[in-house]
Amino acid sequence: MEVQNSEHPHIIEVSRDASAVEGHLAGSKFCGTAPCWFSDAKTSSKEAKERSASTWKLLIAVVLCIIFMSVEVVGGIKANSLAILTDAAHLLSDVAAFAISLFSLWASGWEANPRQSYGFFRIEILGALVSIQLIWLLTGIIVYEAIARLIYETGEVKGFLMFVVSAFGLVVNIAMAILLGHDHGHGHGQGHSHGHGHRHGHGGDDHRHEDHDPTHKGHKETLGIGLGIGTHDHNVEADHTKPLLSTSNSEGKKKLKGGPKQKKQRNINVQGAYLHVLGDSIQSVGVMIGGAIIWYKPEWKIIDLICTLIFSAIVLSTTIRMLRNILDVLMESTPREIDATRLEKGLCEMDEVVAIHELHIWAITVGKVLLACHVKIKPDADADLVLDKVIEYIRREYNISHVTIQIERQ
Amino acid sequence: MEKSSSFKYYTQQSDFGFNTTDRRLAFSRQASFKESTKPFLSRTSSSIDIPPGFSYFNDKSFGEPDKFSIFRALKSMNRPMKRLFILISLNVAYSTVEMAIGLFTGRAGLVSDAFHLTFGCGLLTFSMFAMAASRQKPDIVYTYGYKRLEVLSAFTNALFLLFMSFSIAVEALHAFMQDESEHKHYLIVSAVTNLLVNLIGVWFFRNYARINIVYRKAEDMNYHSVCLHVLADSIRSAGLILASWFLSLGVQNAEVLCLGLVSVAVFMLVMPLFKTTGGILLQMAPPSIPASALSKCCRQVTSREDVFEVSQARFWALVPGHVVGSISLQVKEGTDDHSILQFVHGLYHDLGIQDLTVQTDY
Repeated sequence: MEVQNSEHPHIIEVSRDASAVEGHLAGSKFCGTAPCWFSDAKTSSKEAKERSASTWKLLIAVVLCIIFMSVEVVGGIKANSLAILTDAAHLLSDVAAFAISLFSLWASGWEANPRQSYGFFRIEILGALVSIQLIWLLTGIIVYEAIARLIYETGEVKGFLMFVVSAFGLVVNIAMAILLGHDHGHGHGQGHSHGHGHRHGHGGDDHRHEDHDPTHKGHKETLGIGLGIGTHDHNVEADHTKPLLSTSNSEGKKKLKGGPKQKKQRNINVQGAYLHVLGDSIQSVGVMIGGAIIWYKPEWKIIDLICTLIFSAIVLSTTIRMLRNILDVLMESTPREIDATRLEKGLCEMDEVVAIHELHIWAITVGKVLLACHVKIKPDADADLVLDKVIEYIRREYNISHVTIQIERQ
Repeated sequence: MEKSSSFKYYTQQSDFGFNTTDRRLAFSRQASFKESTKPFLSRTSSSIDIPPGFSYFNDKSFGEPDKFSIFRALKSMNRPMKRLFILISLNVAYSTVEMAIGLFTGRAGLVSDAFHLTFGCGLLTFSMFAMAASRQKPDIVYTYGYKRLEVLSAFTNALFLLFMSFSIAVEALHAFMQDESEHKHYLIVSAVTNLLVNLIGVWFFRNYARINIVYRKAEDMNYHSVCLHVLADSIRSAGLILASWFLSLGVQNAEVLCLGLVSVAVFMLVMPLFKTTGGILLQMAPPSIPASALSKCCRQVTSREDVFEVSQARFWALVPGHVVGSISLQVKEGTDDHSILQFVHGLYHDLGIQDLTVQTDY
């Protein structure tokens, strides 16, 4: 019967001989019994749960940000301090980053249609790319501001104010980092977990521009995130497509469940937002250090610029890992966890298979992998059998469910 | 070598769907002259005939990727790359001079302008890097090759232009609220020079100086984005000059007006490019192939006697002009797969889909 009707709404189906089709397990060749992320974008419970959890986190983070920002704006206007206002602008850029992440999260749940036959999962990746570009842009603006400040020698640099405002910003950012990084399963020890061997650069978000240009956008975020994210990224990337193999988690705190695990991978958008916040924190540390030094010795104004440059470099280096992952997906390259040569060898070792060519393995988004290849079989082999074997092998060994195999006879 | 290798390489230049009198293709009259002498669809053999003993990964040509060096690619630059190089060097020289002057005389506007230019230069350098790096042959990790880099660089350019438009809007807002506007006057000289440099850039890429272009190859997108970049920069300089002139005439809120206009203009300029590049990166169905043609093909396939149904027909564009697809057929027991495959491949090839993987289930 119409087996695929509900699953693949974009298909044009003409079912000729119903009785012949009926006994045929057509469904098993497609998505199989595992929840198909392709067709049930909305209804798959695991996806939906993860998505709603991430959405809640980001929503709360946005609300917090807006509250703090309005507090700062009011306080800044009352105290007539530019530093506080610029910090508020900085928080505004935070809100922008979260908004992008939220939108990507929401959009990636949209149903596939004939124009977007693979669904909207790629929007996550593009949203993360835009986020990272924003980070780079903001870092560039910060560096420019620091240099401009140095040139203009505005004279009095209130080290104390710098310190206090940045400390406040730091606290805010730590709160958000905890919120975004906290997994309820808590198997991961991601985010803020202490003692992980990576520097927890939750310094202060310092506002470097005490009495300076109010149009300066808050660019702190960029710095901090990378540190924490770096090691976490490593975890989450290693996990997700090895269901049966024990996932080598370098952190080691992950709860290993038996059976196919849908990894507790943090959504890439939450990761991106986390990157922003952490980067902010690192920048805050830098500004706090600078503020403290200037407070102590007001004539060493160049410290401001040096701190800015160093911490901006740190922030940029932390975004590199995530940028590499994004680039890998966008270039349709073989995902890092899958060894294409081994796969090809494994397939060639099968009895009826003569050769494999045009093997393409690519990911829609991190964790969702597709495969397409042409398999050349011996002239007398049973094509259907070989097809089943190949699909089963790939699913078993590499956990790739969406494969398209073209069988050719020699 | 070309014919015997995997499916995708035997037709690189196939055009589809557009006759040469299409006005939108006018921009490439010079560049594609040699291409137009090729037959419309040059296909010399059935796509599924592969000589025996050929294996994707054992073939020596894919075995060791030939030493690719960016420097070697840069040495053998084609014309647009050379022009881009000249453009970048001009920009770098100009921004260095401007920054030096700004630092010496202590003028904020010049330094900020120089920074803005440096950002733009960085972006253009990335475009050039994409042009050079995208020539690499596909290897085991990047099985589809590196052409996507050009689309990525076009996307980054478009994104940056959107950011720029947004920041100009913020500047306009700032000018509106601040109401002190004398600081624009001494930027006239720098704005004029900026305008001249960017107009040179527009002249270099004049073939691509339009908003909606039909993209036929990957490089088209990159060149288009570079052209839009310099065009947007020149619009911005022109806006600044206009604002100064209006101010000297005594027009109220001249700055706000001009900056607002510039911001809107740049936004409208960039949006189509952004949408198209975004569409390709999102694996959207290729806009160059109308849905009616695809469904017609589907119907043709299902109208064959031995085919029960067609499912999971998905197509996406790797770069403009190179469409990849996969399709699943339910066929009757005992059908000759060779004839079915040949039929389906031929059918979709006529649409311009060169890489197709057909899964036949019995």
